[in-house]
Amino acid sequence: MSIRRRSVLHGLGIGLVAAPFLNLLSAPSTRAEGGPTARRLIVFFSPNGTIPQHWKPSGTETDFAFPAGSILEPLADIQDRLIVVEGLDFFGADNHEGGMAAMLTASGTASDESGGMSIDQFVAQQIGQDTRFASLEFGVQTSAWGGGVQTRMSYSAPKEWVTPDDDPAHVYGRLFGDFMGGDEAAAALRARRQRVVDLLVDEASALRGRLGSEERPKLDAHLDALAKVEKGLMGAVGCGLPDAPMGGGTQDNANFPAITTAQIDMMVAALACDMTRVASLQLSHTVSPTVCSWLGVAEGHHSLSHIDDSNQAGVAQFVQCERWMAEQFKYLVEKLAATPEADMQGSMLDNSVVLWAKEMGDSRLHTCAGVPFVIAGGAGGRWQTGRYLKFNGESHGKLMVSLCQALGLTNETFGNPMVGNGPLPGLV
Amino acid sequence: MRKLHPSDLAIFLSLAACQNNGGGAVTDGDGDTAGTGTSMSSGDVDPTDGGGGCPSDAQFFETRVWAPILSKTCITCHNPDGLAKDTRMVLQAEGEEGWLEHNFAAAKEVALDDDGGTSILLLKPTNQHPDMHKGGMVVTPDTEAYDALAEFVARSQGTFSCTAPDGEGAAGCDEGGAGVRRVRRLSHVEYNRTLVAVLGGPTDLGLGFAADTVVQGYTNNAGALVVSGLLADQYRDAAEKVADQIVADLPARLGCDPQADGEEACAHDFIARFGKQVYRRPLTADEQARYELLWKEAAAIEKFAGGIRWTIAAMLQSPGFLYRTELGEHAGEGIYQLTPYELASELSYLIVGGPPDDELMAAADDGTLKDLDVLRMQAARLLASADADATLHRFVDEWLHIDRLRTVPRDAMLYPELTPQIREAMLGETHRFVGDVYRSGGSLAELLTADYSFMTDELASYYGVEAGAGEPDLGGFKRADTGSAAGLLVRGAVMTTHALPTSSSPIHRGKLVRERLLCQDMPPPPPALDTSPPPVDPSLSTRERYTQHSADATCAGCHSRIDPIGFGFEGYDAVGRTRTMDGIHAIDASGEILLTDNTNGSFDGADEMAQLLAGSPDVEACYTLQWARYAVGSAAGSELQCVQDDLTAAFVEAEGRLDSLVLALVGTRFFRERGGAPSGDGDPTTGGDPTTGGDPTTGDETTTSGGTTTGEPEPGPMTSPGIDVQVTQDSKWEQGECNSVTVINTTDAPIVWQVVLGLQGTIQNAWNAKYMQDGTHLVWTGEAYNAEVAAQGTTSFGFCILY
Repeated sequence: MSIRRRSVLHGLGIGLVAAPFLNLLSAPSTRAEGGPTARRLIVFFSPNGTIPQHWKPSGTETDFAFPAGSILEPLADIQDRLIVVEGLDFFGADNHEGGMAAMLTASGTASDESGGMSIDQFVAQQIGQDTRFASLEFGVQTSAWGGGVQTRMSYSAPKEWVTPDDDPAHVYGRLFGDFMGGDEAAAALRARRQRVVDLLVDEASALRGRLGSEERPKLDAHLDALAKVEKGLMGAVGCGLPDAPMGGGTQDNANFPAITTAQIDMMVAALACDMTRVASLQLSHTVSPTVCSWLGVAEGHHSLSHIDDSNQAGVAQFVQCERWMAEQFKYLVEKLAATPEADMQGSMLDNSVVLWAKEMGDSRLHTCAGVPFVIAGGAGGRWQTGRYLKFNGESHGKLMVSLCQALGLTNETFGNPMVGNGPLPGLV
Repeated sequence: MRKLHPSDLAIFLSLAACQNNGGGAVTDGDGDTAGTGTSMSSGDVDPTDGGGGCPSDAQFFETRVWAPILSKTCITCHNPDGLAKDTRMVLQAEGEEGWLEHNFAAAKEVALDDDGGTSILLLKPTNQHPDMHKGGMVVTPDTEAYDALAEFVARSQGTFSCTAPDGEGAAGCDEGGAGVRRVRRLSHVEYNRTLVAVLGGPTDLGLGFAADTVVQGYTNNAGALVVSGLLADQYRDAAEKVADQIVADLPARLGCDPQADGEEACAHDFIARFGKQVYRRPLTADEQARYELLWKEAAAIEKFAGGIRWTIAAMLQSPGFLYRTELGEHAGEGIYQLTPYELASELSYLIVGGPPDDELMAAADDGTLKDLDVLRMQAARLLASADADATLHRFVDEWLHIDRLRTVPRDAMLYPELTPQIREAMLGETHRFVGDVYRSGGSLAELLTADYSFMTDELASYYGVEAGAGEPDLGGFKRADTGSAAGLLVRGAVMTTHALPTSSSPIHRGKLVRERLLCQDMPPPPPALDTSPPPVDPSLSTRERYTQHSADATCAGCHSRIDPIGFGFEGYDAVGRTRTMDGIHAIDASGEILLTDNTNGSFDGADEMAQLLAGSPDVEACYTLQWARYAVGSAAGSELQCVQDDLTAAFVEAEGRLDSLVLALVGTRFFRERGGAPSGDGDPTTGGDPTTGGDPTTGDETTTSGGTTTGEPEPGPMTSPGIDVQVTQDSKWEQGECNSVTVINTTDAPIVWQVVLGLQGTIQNAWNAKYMQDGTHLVWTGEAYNAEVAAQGTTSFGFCILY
C-alpha cells in the first residue's frame, strides 16, 4: 500500500497526531524473534462475573471435562481448541466498576509499560499499522446508559474509552461503504472523501491554534480521529462483501441474539478481509440489565448474577444465560475455524488468539479474585490447546503478557507490574 | 489529636458507615474537618467547593473576614443595638438564626459600594473615608486583615482570581467568575436538532451515533465530549446523507441561479449564506476560500450540483459546525467577552437545544445582543417558545434517568400491559406535566407534590384513574387527577424506570432520591460481602425480603439511608401502577429519611415523603446543582462555582420557581465572559487528557507507593517494614472516593501487618481491615482472617472516604 504524501505532511504539522503514520514509515519492529506467533487478537466479553462452582471444569490440565449442566458445557465440542484458565486475580480491583476497568488494562497507569491501555488497544498500536483499522470494537447493547466506567472495557489511555459500535448496519457501512458501486466509482468516491478530510484537517488545525492549552487536547483528539478516517479510506477490500445486516432495534432486548450473530459475522468478515487484526466484541456491560428473555428467563442478568444458592431457580436461570453466552463464544470460534486464511495456510482460528474475558470472579461476592478466562485458538501453533490451567491467585496481567507475546510483542509486563511480571507459566 | 480506640470502632463504624454530608452541603459532618463547624444553611454554601486551596466567597468571608475581623472588632459597634446601629452594616451575633448569611450579605453590600474607586469596606475601617469612621482606624493598611478585606472586596466585585502558589490558575472558578475559554462539541441531541434546523425538516441521523460519555447522568458534559474515529465516521455518514437531501431540492435551497448568475458567483453566495447557517456565524475569509476551492475542484468533475454536495458534506463535518466556541474577544486584563454570535449560540443551545433562530441571529448581527437587557429579552422570548420544552424534557429525563424508560427490561408475562405505547405515554405524561409546571410559573415544590398530571385516556385507564376532562392536546393528553399528591416521582415513568424486571425495587428507588434529589452519592457495596438479593419468596413481601436482607450490620450502614426511602414507594408496582397489595401482603409504605441536614423525618407513603422533600432546602440546593450541571454542561466544581451562588440565591428568592434558574444563569458574568490563558502560548505537546475535569466517575487510577504513603519521615506510626502498599482508587465521585489497598509482603517471613495511610476525608465505610485514627493518619490492621500476610503473599482491604 502506498503512503500518501498528504499524510506525512499532516504528521509534520500536527505532532502527536502523526504517530500512527510515522510508524507506517519506520515501523520499528517490536515483535519478538523466535517461536510462532498469532496474526490477530480477538476479545469477547460477557458480563457480571460467574458462579465458580457452575463454571469450573473437572479433571486435570490435559484430561478435563465440562460437567453436565455447567456453564462451559456448550464448549465441549471445541474443547481441544481451548485453553481454560482459572484462578487469576485482578489485584487491587474489585466490584463491577473496578473489575470492568481492570479487566483488559490490568490496572495499568500511564507510567506502566502498557501505558494504561487495554490489551486490545496496546496490541493494536503495535500491529495495527498496516490495516485499514488499527482495531475494531463491536458491541451489543452496551450503551443504553451512555459511556461510563461500567459500560466501556477498551482504553486508549487511562480514563479514555474506545467506544464500541452497537449498530450492525452502521458497522457494515463503515467497513464496506467506501468500496461500493464498482472499483472505479468507489475509488473516485474515496478520492473525494479524502479531499474533504484534507479540508477538515485544515479547519481543525485552525481552530486548535485559537485554543489555550486546556482545550487543545480536544482538537488533538479530533485530528487523530480524522487521521483514522483517512486511514480507513486507504487500501482495498481483498474479499467479497457480506450481506448487509438488518437495521434498527439495536436497543431492543429481544434483538440481543440477532445483533450478536450479526456482529460476530461482521467481525469475522472484517478479520477475513484483513481490515483489522484486533477486534473486540462486548456483550452488554457490567451490571447488565439484559434479560435472557429468548430463553424464557424473566429476571435481569445482573440480578440473577447475585442470587444466592438457596434460590435454586434463580441460579439455574443464571447458568442458563451463561450457557447461552458460551454458545455465542463457540459460534465465533467455529466461524473462525471454518474460515481459511487468504493464503490457505490453515484456518483463521489457527492463527488467532481469542480471549473470553469477564470482569469479576464470584459475582455474589463482587470480587475480582478467581476471574475465569477462556482462550481459543492456537496462536499460530505457539500454544498447545485442549488444556485446563489452574492457578491460585496469579495476576491476570501475566495472562496479558502471554497474549502480547503470542502476538509477537516483547513486553515483559502488562498493567501494574507490582503484582506480576512475565508471562503466565504454561502460556509462554 | 483524636484517637479512636478499637472498642469504639463498632460504634464509630455504625455511625460513620455511609455518613454523608447532607443536601449537597459542604462537609461538616464530623465537626473535625470544617473550620468552625458552623451551620450555615446548605442553600448558601457552595457544595461544589471541594477544597483545592481556593475557598468559596462564603467560606472566605467566614474564616478570613468574619472570624478575625468583623466578629472581633466591628460588631462591638455594628450591632442592632450598638453605636453604629444606623449604618448600613449591622451585624448579627453568632448563633442568631441566619447570622452568617446575614453578615455575609451585609459585608458584601458595603464591599460593593465605593467612593472614588475604593470600596467603602476598605475606606471606613482604615479611617480613610472623607466622612471619617467614627470608630477610628480599626484596620491598618498593609496588614493581613487589610489584605483579607481587599480580597473580599475583589471577590464581591468578581475581579478576584484564585491563583495557586505556582502561578498556575487554581481549580477555582477562573478569573473571578468567568470560567475557561473553551469549545463545546454538540451533544448528539443538540447535533440532531441542529441538523433539523439546517435541513428544514425532520431527521434522526444524529440519534443513533455511538453513545457519548455520560457524566453524572448528563450527556452534554463539555469536558467529556470529543470526536473519536468512530464518531468522525458517523458524522461523515450523516453529513453525506443530509447533503444528498439538500441537493435533491437544490433550486429551492440555492438562493441564486447558476445559469443566470454564473456558477462561481452562485456557489460563492451559497457558501457564504449556507455557511453562516451551519457555523452560526459568518465564515471567515479563509473558510470561505477553502469551501470555494473545494466546490471548484469537485464541480470540475461532478458538475455544479456535485460541487455543492461535497461543500455541504464538508461543512456538516467541520469543527465550525460540530463545536460551539466560547473563546470571545480580548477585552483587556485577561478577560474575553464572548462575541455576539457566541452569545447567540450559548443562549439558544441553553434554552431550545438548537441553533439560533433568525431573530436571535439578527441581534447578533447588529451586536445588540451584547446588551444584557437585550440578552435577557431574547432569553425570555426563547423560553416562551415551544422549542424550549425539548431541553426541559431532556434535563428531566437525564436528571431522573428516565431516558432509560424505553429500554428498561420488564417481564412481559407478569406485566403484559406495559406495552411500548404505554411506555411512550408515560414519557409523554412526564414531559407534559413538567412543561406545564414550568410554563405556569410553578415551583420545585409543585413538581414534587402535584396531585394532577397529563394522561392519554389509554394511560389513565392503565393507571386505573378517571380520564381527564376537556380537550386533549395533539398527542391526546388531558389534565387528570392522579389520586396521589407526590407529583413527578410517583408517575409511571419514574416508578417503572426504577424497578426490577419482576418486582418493585426499594433500593433503586431509594437510591434515586438519595443521589438525584439529595445529591448524596452512594458508594457501591464493599467487595467480599455477600450481596445476594433476597430470593423471591411468596411468603414474604418485597419489603420484608429487603428488610431481612439489610439487617446485616455491614449492609445497614448504607441501606438504612436507602431502603426506608424506597419503601415509601411500595404503593407503586414495577410498572408504575398503584397497588394496595404486594402478592398476598398488604402494602406497608411507611419509611423514614435519615442523615440529611434538613430533610429528616418519618412518613407513611409517598405523599407524605413528597412533603418532606418538597419543603427541604437540601432538595432545593440539590435541584439547583443538578440543573447547573446540565445547563453549564459541566461537572467540574470550578466551573459550577462561577454560577452556583447566583443560581442558588435566585432560586431561593423565587421560592423555587423552576424558570428562575434560566434567567439567573443568563445574568451571570460567566454567561458572557471568559478569562483564561491567552491562546498561542502553552506547549502544544502537553495538556491534560480530554476528559479532565469532566469525569468524576472513572475509577482505575492507581497510585503506587512503597511503604507509607505519606512519605514524610515524621515520628508516629509506621507501615510495617517489609510491607509494600498499593492503593487503587476504585471509584470517585464529587464528595468522596473508594479505594482498594493491596498489602504486599516482600519478605520471606509472614508479617502481622500494619499500614499507615494519610487521611484525606472522613471514613465512610471500610472492609477487611480495622483502623485507628492518629492525627492525620489512619493506622490499618487486618481482621482476624487477614491480620497476618504470608511470606511473599498479599492481602487486601478497602475503604470509602468522604472529603
